[in-house]
This record gives sequence, C-alpha cells and structure tokens, in this order.
Amino acid sequence: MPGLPEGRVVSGIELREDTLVVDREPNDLDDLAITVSTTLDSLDIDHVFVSGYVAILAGRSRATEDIDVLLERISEDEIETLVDRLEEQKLWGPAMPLDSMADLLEDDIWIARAGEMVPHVEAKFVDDEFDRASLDHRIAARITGADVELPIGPLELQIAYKLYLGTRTDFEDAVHLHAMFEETLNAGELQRWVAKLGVETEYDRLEQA
Amino acid sequence: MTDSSKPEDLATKHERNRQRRIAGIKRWIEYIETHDEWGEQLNRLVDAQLESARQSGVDADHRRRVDRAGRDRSG
Repeated sequence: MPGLPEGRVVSGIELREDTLVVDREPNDLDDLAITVSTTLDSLDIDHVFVSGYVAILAGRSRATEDIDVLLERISEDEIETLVDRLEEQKLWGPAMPLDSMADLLEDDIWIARAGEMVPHVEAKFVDDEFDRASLDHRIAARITGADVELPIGPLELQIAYKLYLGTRTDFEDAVHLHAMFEETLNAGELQRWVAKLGVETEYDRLEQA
Repeated sequence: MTDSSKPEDLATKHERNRQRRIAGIKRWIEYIETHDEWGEQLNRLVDAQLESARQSGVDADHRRRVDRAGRDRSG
C-alpha cells in the first residue's frame, strides 16, 4: 500500500505508528462515518470517532446502530452552518428534527441519512479530560477499500475507558482491542489511563482473560 | 431449568459463558490474522444487522429513549 509507514504485514488489521490500517471494503457504518467526517473536515471542525465504532473498525465482530463522534466546541453560527451542510449532504433526517436546534449546544446530535434512523452518528461536544485527550491524541484509521482516513481515539484510552464503562459489551470490546494490538500498544500510556480511570482491578481481569 | 436456579450454579454458568465468549473473541482475532475473508464476513454482519433494524419500524423518539437509558446505566 503506497504512502503507509513501513511495518510488518501479517494480518488484515495493523497498527502502524499512528495509523490503524483496516484492510477491507467499507460497510454501511463506514459509509456514514466517512460522509460525516468529510463534512466536518470541510468546515474545519476537529472531531474524533470513539467507543464501539472504533472496536468494530479494529475488527471486533459485533454490530451496532450508532457511531460516536466527539466534536470540538463550536459556536451557534457554526452549528447552523454545519446543519446547512448536513442538509446538503441529505444527512438530516428523522434522527434530529430542525426545530430541536436549541438543544444542540446541550445535547448530543443525532445525524442520519434522510429518511433513516439507523445507522446514525451521535455527535457530542468535548466535555471532559478524557474527551479532550481522545481529540488531541487522535490517530488515523485507514480503510483500504475506500482509501480514506478517519480520526479515531487512541487505543490505549479506548481500552481503559471501556473498562471504566464496564458493561459486558464494553469489557469484551476492551478484550478485543487489547488482544489484537497487545504488542503494539503503548504500555505506559495504557497504564496511565487505567490508573487515571481507577480501573486497575478490571485491567487485571482483562489481562487474565 | 435444572439446578442452575441456585445462585452459585448461576454464577458458575455465567463465568463459563464469559470465558467462552472471550475465547471466541480470541479465535476471531486468529481468523483475522489468517483469513482474507474476515472483512467480508464482518461487513455482512454489520450490514445485515442494520438492515434488520431499518425494517423494525421503531420510531426516533423510542430509539433515543432507549439509547439514553442505556447510557445512564453504563455511565
């Protein structure tokens, strides 16, 4: 693959430096994520995909209806521009009626293709230090079949945060990410987030899994 | 239902199921590393689930309520 950092080629998904290379065609979730990301890029709105969608990008074999994305805080004027741009892309549908504009600064924003509820993107503004770290230390995920890159949260933080959330699905997402990239993760960063989120016990459980 | 109605048996069964699911996750990772078809299979799973959800006819308000309830529980 031209333009990619050097690295060993052993599987369909690899973490090479700051790029997660996903060697497959895009699916329906990816198509929506790509369209939304391209729209946000066109308005210079910093954003990062996190949570379950990142696990699926990294090969986790499970389904989801939503794609979580964190946005840099933007002004009301910028939100209006974003809404206009989403409408142009036919991305404003029953997921978020226009009359709920006033909620946009406070609530998460659901973005779906016009006339559809699933899949949808749930966009929310950066709200705490973990959101901020996801945005500031984002890496790229390259889906080779679409030859595009999406910004995703650093995997070390994703794993620790999944342990913090603690549901069965979250724990299994963490197991997947940890087992998949055990040799390439930054162990120091992972330990730092585990300590910061107070999930040492859960991490021990993950290591023993 | 057998003796599994006893709490300790349920706990054992739960732990066994958990271990099986984790073993399944690790088998899937091996599969990704050795089979080019992994992406096609994953995409089939994702796309089929979305198609099924589209056909369910659940309205937007209900989806948002369910979503919020799930987040409150896990957050």
